Amino acid sequence: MSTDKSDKTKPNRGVGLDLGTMNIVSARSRSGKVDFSRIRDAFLDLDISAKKMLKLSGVSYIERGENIVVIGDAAMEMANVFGREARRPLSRGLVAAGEVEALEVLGVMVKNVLGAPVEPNEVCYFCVPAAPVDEDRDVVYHRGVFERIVTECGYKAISSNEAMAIIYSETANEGFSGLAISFGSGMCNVALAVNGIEGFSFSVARGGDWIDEGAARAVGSTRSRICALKEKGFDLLAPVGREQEALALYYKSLIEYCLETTAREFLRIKDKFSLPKAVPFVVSGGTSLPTNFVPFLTSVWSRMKKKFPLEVSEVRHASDPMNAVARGLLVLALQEYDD
Amino acid sequence: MTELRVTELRVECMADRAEMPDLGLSLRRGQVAWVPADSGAKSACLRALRDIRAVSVVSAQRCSAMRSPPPPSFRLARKGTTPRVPTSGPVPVVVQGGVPVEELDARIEQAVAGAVDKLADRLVAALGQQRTAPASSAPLNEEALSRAVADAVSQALSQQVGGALRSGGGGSRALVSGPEEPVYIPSGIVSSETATDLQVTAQATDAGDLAGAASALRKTRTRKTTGTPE
Repeated sequence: MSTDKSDKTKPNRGVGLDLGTMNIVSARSRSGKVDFSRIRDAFLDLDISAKKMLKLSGVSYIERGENIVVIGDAAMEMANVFGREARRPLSRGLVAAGEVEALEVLGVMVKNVLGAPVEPNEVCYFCVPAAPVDEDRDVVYHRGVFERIVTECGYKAISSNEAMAIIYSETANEGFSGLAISFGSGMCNVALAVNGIEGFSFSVARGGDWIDEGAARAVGSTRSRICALKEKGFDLLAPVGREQEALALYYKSLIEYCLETTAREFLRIKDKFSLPKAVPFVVSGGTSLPTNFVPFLTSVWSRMKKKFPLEVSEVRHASDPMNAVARGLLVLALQEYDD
Repeated sequence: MTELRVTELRVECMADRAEMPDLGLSLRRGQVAWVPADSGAKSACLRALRDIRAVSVVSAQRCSAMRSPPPPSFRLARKGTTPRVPTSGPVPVVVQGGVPVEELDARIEQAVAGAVDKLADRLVAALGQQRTAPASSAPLNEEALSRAVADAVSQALSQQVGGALRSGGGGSRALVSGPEEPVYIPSGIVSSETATDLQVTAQATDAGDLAGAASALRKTRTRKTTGTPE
């Protein structure tokens, strides 16, 4: 990882913004490079008495009346110090309605990640998950909140489907045709596109957090411990110990669930949508980071291949799974400008 | 006696017709509709129609045995007596963003006053036209008048109340609602006053064929919109 603060060349117009349950990532292009800025989507409110300690440790914070709020990676670290659980402004992929405090935190985070626009009303594409098929929730409030935040940062805010962003990022060589699944922390987003036209998109309200909770319950551990173990990295094809085995089991269950739902959703639209040829199947997202995720997914998929109604040419990982959505949104933003 | 919890509003149409597009209601004389109390409190049309006595609004809890609303004298303090202070009255409704309903009421009343002024101007203009061309203009019957009033008030509220809320209070939170926003989203989420020097992880990677992808996507989208064959 490199910090590219020395590059003073003017960035190109257009920015992509991935708003995830775990991370907020922005992407900008500048002289043959893409600059990604990331912040952990977490915050922790502490008593004002902790101010001195935070100053000494160099942690940045914002003051809110009698409280101070630590935001980002520092919040996770401070949560461990104080033996508390960091708060998340997004819950299972979406902003919780009525969480006014979370909105302010999100505003600060987005402002820091985006920075100032290159010009007034510079185009910013931000991602919105599709409505979950397994929960009675919609994305109207979520989209409205982020539209407001991005606009207040001085940008022209345009929303785009999260999984479609992976299509724009990873399938340019296939003419923007493919099946994409974004394995996120709060939910998994799925989209099918042919020549850039969306066939269907949906989300399921299960993701990395669901895996952590399930595995923690199974082995009598805590969610944060399982999450830390998962983020440390492990091999899905060769899990070691009870906790990793539990994680692998829940990974298998999540993948099966996503594939079964994808098959069901495709069958619903197959009469209205024809696939001229086999399409690539691209997987992305922070939950897809464990070693051998793609071979593991392929092995699960091969068992249900006969029942799977979509013809898939290959299963592949996104070139940069943590940044693929932001990159796809950047592609969308760049195509708004002719330069 | 058990306390009556106000959960719904009973709306009865007193005019020939009452249109409340923000509640999705259209009532004729004598028709009754039940509206959730919070939706009713937010409805500018309902408030406007109530003010011009086109509808009667009663707060009540629906049940199998209907309770009629208390008579007006019940609520009024007698001369020379101290008004009774309710011990467990309804909590003042404060909508998200911190603007109390009372303040909204005042703003809406102001907007209604403006709308009535505009309506008066329109009526004067209409009467003028009737005088100049009585044969060609339609008679101004009661139903048409009440519909015109409802339309004018609704239109005026959507413009003037929205404008008033948007321009309200420099730096303070204002409520803004649009046609695609069924819920209130506070403005001023991103504060320019908050010190925002957070630690952001920066990473630079090779752009690859990013420009090519953007260009290809632009072509694909142009083809779709213009209908050019491949």
